[in-house]
Amino acid sequence: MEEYRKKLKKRFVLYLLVLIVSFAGVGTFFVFGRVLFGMDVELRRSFGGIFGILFLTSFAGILSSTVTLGDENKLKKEYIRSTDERNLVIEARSSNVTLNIVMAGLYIGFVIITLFSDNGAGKVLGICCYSTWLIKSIVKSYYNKKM
Amino acid sequence: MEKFKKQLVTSNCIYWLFIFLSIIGAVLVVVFSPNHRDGNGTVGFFAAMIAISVINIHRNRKALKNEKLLKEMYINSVDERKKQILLQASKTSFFIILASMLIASIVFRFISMTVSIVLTCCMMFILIVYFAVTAYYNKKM
Repeated sequence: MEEYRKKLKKRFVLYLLVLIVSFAGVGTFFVFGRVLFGMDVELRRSFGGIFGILFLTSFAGILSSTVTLGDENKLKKEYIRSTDERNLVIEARSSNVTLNIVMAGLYIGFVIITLFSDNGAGKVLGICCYSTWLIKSIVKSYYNKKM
Repeated sequence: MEKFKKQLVTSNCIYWLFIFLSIIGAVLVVVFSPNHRDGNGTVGFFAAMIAISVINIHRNRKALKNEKLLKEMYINSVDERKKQILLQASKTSFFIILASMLIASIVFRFISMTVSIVLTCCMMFILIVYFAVTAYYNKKM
């Protein structure tokens, strides 16, 4: 239980860091983007969107961590949920199946987009597909050595 | 063991499908769009997929013909340690891939809007698939 409490505290710090970075991002690129970098409205809005989502997500994370850390009953419930074998297996299996589906989907997208357009989007999908495969292989060989 | 044999045959079919897709893609890119910008790079992607698929088909076929090899592969596939490694690796890779896509998407906003939008779409696609698969397993298990 104490271990989980420490984990939650670490997560809280991480969320806080993301919150600060995203807040700085919104300020730098969205609010002062035109003055500082001469960015156009579209680019400023897109940055605002990305950093805004990051800001909201980290804010929600901070709220939930604070509430969980403050309430002993909730902490116990969350601890049971996080150590539940079934949930862990579901999470790992979902990640595995998702990566396989994503690799196939990205490759099919790469084939289709490459045939109909020449703007580099297809190539990005191809690179994403192979990078996914590469990262999975590297991590797998790491765990093969470690475990 | 019979189930594993069927699995190998199915995975061979999937690899054949990828070879078929890649050949069609490469032929169409070379024949119908000879002015395709950086066409060689694109054909390289197709060639890599064909090579990967051929190697896997060859391995599976060899196992299907050789009983000893098949048994070895079967033991590897049901080995709890290897299964655990695969699941753990997938879980970690999933977060690495998402985080790197997010960072790349932000960085590419400055360089190319198209690349950035494609990366964002990829991220959305990954998340949608993940939530759908999680919901499926939540119901199934």
